[in-house]
Amino acid sequence: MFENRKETNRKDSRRISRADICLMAFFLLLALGCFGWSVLSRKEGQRLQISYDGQTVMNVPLSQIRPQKIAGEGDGAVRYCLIRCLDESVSCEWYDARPDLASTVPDGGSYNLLAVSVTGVFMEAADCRDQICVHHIPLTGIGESMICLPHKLVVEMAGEADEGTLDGIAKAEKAGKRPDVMSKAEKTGKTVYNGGRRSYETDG
Amino acid sequence: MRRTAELGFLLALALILSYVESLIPFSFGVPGIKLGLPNLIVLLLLYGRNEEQTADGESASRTGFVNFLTKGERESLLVNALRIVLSGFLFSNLYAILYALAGAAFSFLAMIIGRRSKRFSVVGVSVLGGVFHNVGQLLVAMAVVETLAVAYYVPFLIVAGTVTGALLGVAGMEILPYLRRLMQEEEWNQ
Repeated sequence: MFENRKETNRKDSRRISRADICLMAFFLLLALGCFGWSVLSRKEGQRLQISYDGQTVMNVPLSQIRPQKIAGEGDGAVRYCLIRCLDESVSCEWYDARPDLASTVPDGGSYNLLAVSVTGVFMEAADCRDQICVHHIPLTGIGESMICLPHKLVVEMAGEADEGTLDGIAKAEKAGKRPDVMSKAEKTGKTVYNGGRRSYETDG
Repeated sequence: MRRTAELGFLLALALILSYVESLIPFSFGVPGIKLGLPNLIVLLLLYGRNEEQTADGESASRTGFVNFLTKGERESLLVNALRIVLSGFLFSNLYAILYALAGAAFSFLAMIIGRRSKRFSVVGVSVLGGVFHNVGQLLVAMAVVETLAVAYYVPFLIVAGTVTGALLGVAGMEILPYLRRLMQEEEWNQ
């Protein structure tokens, strides 16, 4: 395949050109710009929504589940939600301290230990094989989500009230304010019913 | 015949790199980020052949996308597509294959455009490939699940594509002269 080699391509194989540096600088600046924009336009999530295999299993306001900030103690407080799954049935339990996983998880079941802190929601531990959810950056803003593909679990930040769920759309339709809610609901709501299919992170 | 053997050899190498990559735990909190080691083979195929980049004479009279590509480009496309399908069936699933093919298509287009512009070295072309692979894959994921919710991954994916692309580009830049010299010696021995 390397036949008929003259000294042609040689110039582009030995040196990093100025154009390369410009390209890399451009991409890094672009990323910085995107990041800044996403930080500035981020709206803090109001509700935490958990769905298993497309079915919503929990949809609660963050204000109810978030640990109270204790004066002088910083952001250290964390509450835990142990999501257990056994034979296609899911249970969620809340703990103020990290539960002992060895005694609470039944044989043959799987678990995801979700942690809610003052600053965000993250996956503390899980017994899934790829651990993508555990490594995921904490969720803070509306529409941010993390997916545990092996466990068919989607954890998502939603906006105020029921906005972002199909129930919310139905209610909004009744109340006659469909259009403005729809646009947001389409962004956040549809994903809930696609739990098992959001698999782009597992590419080979 | 000899070229077929060489392409098979590089395909095997690409498959091994796919496997090695799947063994490395490499996570920065955003799904989809990976080293992209097999892209090294694509780079080597794109640049290994010492030909004029327009391949005039060979394809001037023909039309169509396949004939529009030069030999090196066609070979890298073939090897990479086979690599994705084979490694997909070996190590993961059908959805993964589709996403990987989408990412590879974006990446390949960006790389041949970058190479033909003659402005960039191997490193620049590799960076283009890395960034467009990630962004293309994200776009396809957004289209498939009809959501914009994953758009906040974009800056992370661009940075990851730039860094991994640059690393692979430097590696390719170091490997290429040796590969060419090796092939030259082989030819003399015949």
